[in-house]
Amino acid sequence: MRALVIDDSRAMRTILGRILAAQGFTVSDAGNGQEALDALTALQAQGELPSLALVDWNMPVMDGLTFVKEVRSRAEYASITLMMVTTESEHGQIVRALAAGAHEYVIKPFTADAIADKLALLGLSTVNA
Amino acid sequence: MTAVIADEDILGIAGDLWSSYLGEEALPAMLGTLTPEISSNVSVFGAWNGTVVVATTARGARLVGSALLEIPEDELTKGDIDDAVGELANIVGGNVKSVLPGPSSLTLPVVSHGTVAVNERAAVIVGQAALEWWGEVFEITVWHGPASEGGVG
Repeated sequence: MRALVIDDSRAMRTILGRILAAQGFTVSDAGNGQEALDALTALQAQGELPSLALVDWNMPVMDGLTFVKEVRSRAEYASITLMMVTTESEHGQIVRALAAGAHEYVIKPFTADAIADKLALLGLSTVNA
Repeated sequence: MTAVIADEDILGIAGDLWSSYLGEEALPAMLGTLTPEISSNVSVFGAWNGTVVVATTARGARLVGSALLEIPEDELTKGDIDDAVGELANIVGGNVKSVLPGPSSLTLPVVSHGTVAVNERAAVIVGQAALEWWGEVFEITVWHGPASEGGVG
């Protein structure tokens, strides 16, 4: 399975990429929501649309919430599971993200186990499958 | 009334961050011993306004960059180091925001070489803590006052 990690921090993309690779994912990444939409277009053309996207909230150019809304507005991306991974932890923001179409919400700092648990809940765990 | 964040809460947030991403626990350290060589800050806007600053030495920043990116110190670029230190402020700032009055928004991190400019007549420190990790000191300061992306006050 392929995953797309979207975060403006290279360090965070590295951490999440490492965790997802250990879970058996092939990982692509993008530095903001617009780059991620461009990446999805390219991956779709290659027949490699990701099963999962991990999405930061605060990013330049296009933030994570806008990206979630964009993806959910496009039927061709309906199969992509969206997980917000962000420092934003106010209840209202979590509600907004889930209402926009995010399936799960993880607050930074997270552990590798926390991500693995969420993947298992979403039926996306490949390690113990 | 100015909300104050307990130093223990800041240490708890930083402790979670260090143990989650940096492998080795950071220990509480004495405030005022650091001469900042690199600082990153995020501002909070909304029901509460202020800025969260993370400051450390140049070596401390390199160590964080090396640990987060898993590449040797001598292969790090300035961009790598700024990115890593900026992410520290982003995570600390986001978690500090969660214990302050909301709703509010968080800016993207801004990295400064040296200290963050603060107008101490317009902003006050409402929380502060220091940690030591691999012999380097990291100071976290929460300022309450008019916030901007370039600093506070």
